[in-house]
Amino acid sequence: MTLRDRIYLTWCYGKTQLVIGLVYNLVCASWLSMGISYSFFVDAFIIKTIIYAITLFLIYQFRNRDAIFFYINLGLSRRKMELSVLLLDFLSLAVLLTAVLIIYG
Amino acid sequence: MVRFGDKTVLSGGYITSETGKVTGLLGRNGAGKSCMFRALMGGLKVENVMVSIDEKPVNRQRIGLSVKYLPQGRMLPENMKLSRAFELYGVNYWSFVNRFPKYSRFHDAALWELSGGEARVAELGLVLLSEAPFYILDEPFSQIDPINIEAVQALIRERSRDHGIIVTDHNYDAISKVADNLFVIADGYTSPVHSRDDLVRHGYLR
Repeated sequence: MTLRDRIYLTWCYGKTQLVIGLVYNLVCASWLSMGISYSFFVDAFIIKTIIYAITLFLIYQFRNRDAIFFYINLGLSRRKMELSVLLLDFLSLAVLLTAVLIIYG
Repeated sequence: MVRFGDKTVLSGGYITSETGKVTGLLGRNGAGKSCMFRALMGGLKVENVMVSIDEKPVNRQRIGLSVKYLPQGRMLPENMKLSRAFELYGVNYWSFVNRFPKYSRFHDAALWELSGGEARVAELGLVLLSEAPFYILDEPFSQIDPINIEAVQALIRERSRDHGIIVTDHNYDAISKVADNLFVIADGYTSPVHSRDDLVRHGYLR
């Protein structure tokens, strides 16, 4: 399986989490572009973790319980898929904030 | 052991599959058939689950590479094109169309565009035509019309020549036509079935 396939599957699996995460990431980036402080980063990541946990909880209440087997059949466990979504979400926040810092630095 | 609240659904599930054979699993509604499969495949957290092939334990984090599972409900992402799903599973879409010609027009269709029965056949083809030594099919005949049931039975027989397949379904006639050996699940335990009397004794038939 190629990296492109893996990213595509992560997107399919965690679309809702990633979209909500991206909206939050963009809000953070726009706040950061208006003023920078050290505590902002800590707060941004703490709030993100809380939002992530709440989203995950809500998604689990309504998720199709058989959908996971599409990924398990490909050798990807539930844990791997959750970690991939988490990684992609936090990575996009880190990349966005770094980009804003470089641009407005 | 599989437990929901105070209710123990499964306490001693055991099933084997041999290459070249189709194993049928029967059981009444709520007996724990799907729970057992979900537990085996890592879709349900349970205590003490063990899967082994040729007496070697299988890495359950990658079990899908050894055992492909067709769950009872829909598993394909609703917006994914059928051709993309087949590509990810390493299956040539046109080899599936050879068996089910109607699907030539669904090449670029997403799952939500198909009816329940059409989606079921597509998912079944996807699982059975992908490469793995073993397959577990949970109610493969549900929602499927009689003509397609025959085609599905033929596909199961064909794939069982060099693979091991476990099938469960409430369509007793359909399952008995493809199964080489049968198990019944009742009161939280699985038992082999040697005759119709065994099914009566376990409360599956009258």
